[in-house]
Amino acid sequence: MFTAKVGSKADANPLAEIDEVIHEPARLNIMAQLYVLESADFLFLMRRTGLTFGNLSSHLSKLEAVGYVIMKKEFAGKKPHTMLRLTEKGRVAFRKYAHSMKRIFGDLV
Amino acid sequence: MILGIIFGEDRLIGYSFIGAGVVLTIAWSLMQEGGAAQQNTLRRRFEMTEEIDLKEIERKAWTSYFEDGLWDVFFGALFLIGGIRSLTNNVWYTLLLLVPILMLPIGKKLITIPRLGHVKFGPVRKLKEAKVIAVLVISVLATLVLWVLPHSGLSLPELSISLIMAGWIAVVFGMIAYYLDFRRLFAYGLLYALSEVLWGSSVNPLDQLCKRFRGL
Repeated sequence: MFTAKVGSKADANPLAEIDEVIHEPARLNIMAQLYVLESADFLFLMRRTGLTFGNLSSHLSKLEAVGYVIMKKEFAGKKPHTMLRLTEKGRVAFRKYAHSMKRIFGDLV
Repeated sequence: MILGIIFGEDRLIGYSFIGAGVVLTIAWSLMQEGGAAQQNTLRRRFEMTEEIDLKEIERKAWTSYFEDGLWDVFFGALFLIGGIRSLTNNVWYTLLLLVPILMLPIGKKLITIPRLGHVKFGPVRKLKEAKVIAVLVISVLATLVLWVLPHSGLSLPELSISLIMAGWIAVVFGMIAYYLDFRRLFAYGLLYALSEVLWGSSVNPLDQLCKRFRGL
């Protein structure tokens, strides 16, 4: 009897492993910036990523919704400001994403 | 430089080289950034899609805090005050050092941070900062030893002390520049070291120039 071996969805299409939340260029940029820092505020991220305030806020909301980024209100003297940092889940997801991309492009090159 | 030549203060002349170096380096940096501005958009797109160098991202985030030029002004002020102190031979001018020492943190707080934003760097950068502090502590202790040497009965020619100081200055500035990724500091350290060599050298090419001016 002939049986066909059915592989997993990932085996059939490794591109399915890619985290779609991180894969968007602006969010990838934000994740990369936060990955190398302990934390940063909105203004710093705006300057580093080149995004507008609204754009940055929108992408950060998406990242916060999936638990990759956490926002914490702090005070610098008497002035409040919001510090952003990657959660442990976000750092793991970023490393996993980087590993996936290396694997994909490593197979191609 | 003019003051140094008129009053025959070689150290002041040396410090003027540092000032010239600071101006040239900043001008060069500005020219580089202006020329690269057009390429930045394409490069950013390329970096996002082709390759992300995390070390380079961290380095650029760190060095963005040096773009304000406050550190350059700080070192320039230090060297200038040192020159004025040598010129006047008045120890009270050392109190002027408080100006750059206070200017740096105040400038960062009032000028830089409101424009750049707040950031906390990771453990790798914190380790490098700790190394800088260690280098500075060792350099202060070593400098004290070098100052005590001529008074200890040990007879050393002035040039030898100057060469030792120059070498030590070059090493300290070089290490701080390396750990802080503050590349302009390599140039400042080199010029400062050169000024020390000129100061201690009896074959000082600028000495003839000083004598000529004094003769006028």
